[in-house]
Amino acid sequence: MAAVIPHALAVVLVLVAVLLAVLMSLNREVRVPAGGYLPVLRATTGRRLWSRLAGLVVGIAASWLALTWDGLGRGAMLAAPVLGIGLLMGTLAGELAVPRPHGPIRGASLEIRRARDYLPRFSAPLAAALSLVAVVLLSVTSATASADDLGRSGRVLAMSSPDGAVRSATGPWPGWFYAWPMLAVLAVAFLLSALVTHRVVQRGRPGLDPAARAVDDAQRAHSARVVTAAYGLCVALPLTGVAVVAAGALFRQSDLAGWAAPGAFALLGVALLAAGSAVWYLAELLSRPRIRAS
Amino acid sequence: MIEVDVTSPSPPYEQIRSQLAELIRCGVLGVGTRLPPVRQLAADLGLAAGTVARAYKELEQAGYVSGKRGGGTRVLAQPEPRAARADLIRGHARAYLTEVARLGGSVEEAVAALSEVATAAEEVAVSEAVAVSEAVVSDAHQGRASDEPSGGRSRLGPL
Repeated sequence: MAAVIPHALAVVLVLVAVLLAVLMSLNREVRVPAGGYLPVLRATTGRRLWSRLAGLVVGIAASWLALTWDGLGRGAMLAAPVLGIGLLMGTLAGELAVPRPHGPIRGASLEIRRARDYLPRFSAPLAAALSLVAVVLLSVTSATASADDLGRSGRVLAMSSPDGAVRSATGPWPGWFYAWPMLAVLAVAFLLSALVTHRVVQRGRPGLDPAARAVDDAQRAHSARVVTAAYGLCVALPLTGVAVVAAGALFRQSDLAGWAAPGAFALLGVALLAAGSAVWYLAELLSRPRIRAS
Repeated sequence: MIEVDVTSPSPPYEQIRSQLAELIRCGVLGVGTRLPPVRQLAADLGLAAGTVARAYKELEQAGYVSGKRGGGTRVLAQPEPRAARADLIRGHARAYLTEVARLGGSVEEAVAALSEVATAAEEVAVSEAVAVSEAVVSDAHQGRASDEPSGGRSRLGPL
């Protein structure tokens, strides 16, 4: 029964994300001037989508392997970031597949494109804040962790009563044993996100036609949204798990320290925020704005 | 905006250099304006980054721009940009008249053709402005009507 509840909760959250994605897709519409060589842009849109789907398939396969890698919870913790990295690689492949400007006469405006022109205003700062929370939380849990009974360092939370008479260790606790793989995978995801965003911003324009430029801008913004959402999922999902596990350990140790219970409730707040963010990022990934010529 | 003709006998870096120099001399690119990064402009033109870098370097040597690591390439102050602009326009007018004369046309014919083209361009600009304002007014009236197909607009599909 206890194992069914998290699964049911996950299904509900995914359904909420799908509903949110449908609402987002209905409300997001990009107006572009009529004319131009839009069929070319449609073809590159298809190429990008297929690359992303291929990345998603690779990510699902890799996350399945990650799940089976470790029976102590590290596999489950890394499954979502590995899936996100697959999606980021697919997005990068799609961006690299966009053809360079060609033809005898090529035009360019003297605009300066910056990442902040395309990154989503809410999702990107949220991902940065979640990353900061994850790093701080894992640093604190690593600093307070102890070795378990088999000598694996950074796996349990050992505490003593104020008078030193009672000593108790509980786990799992997200100490260094869990923190280093997660931080390593998050570093890879961050670098990959930065690389894809750089490519999204710096790749060539399809020309000077206003319609083509408008569609191109919309495509760049959508790619930046996918990158942010994939990275956000990489951080938010494991952060939810880490916060819940740490809160559980603190609740079990609440008899030994008065601050343990409030700390556990604070961690549950972090878990709630991270889970809500994960739903938001999943909805961002699933939504697709429409282009309409006027 | 700049254009490069890769089939022209003039090398692409020289085309970029001359067009940017012209825009700077005329004051279209004012003092302190930042030029696009080398890699971005190269990607937009489908050229190698070295080609654009060479154009920027020559502009720097000629005193048009200054490049600083991390600060980008910025336009430097130029003497009398208005006079340079008038000179350039006169130069283009002279070239146009020479071309018309080569085809056996008179100055009157050249001026008439020019005003005809100017009128047509003005009409296009006006009709575009009207279309944009109509779209804005129609959106304001319809609210979320953007989800429904309507006359004059076509749906292109999702991104």
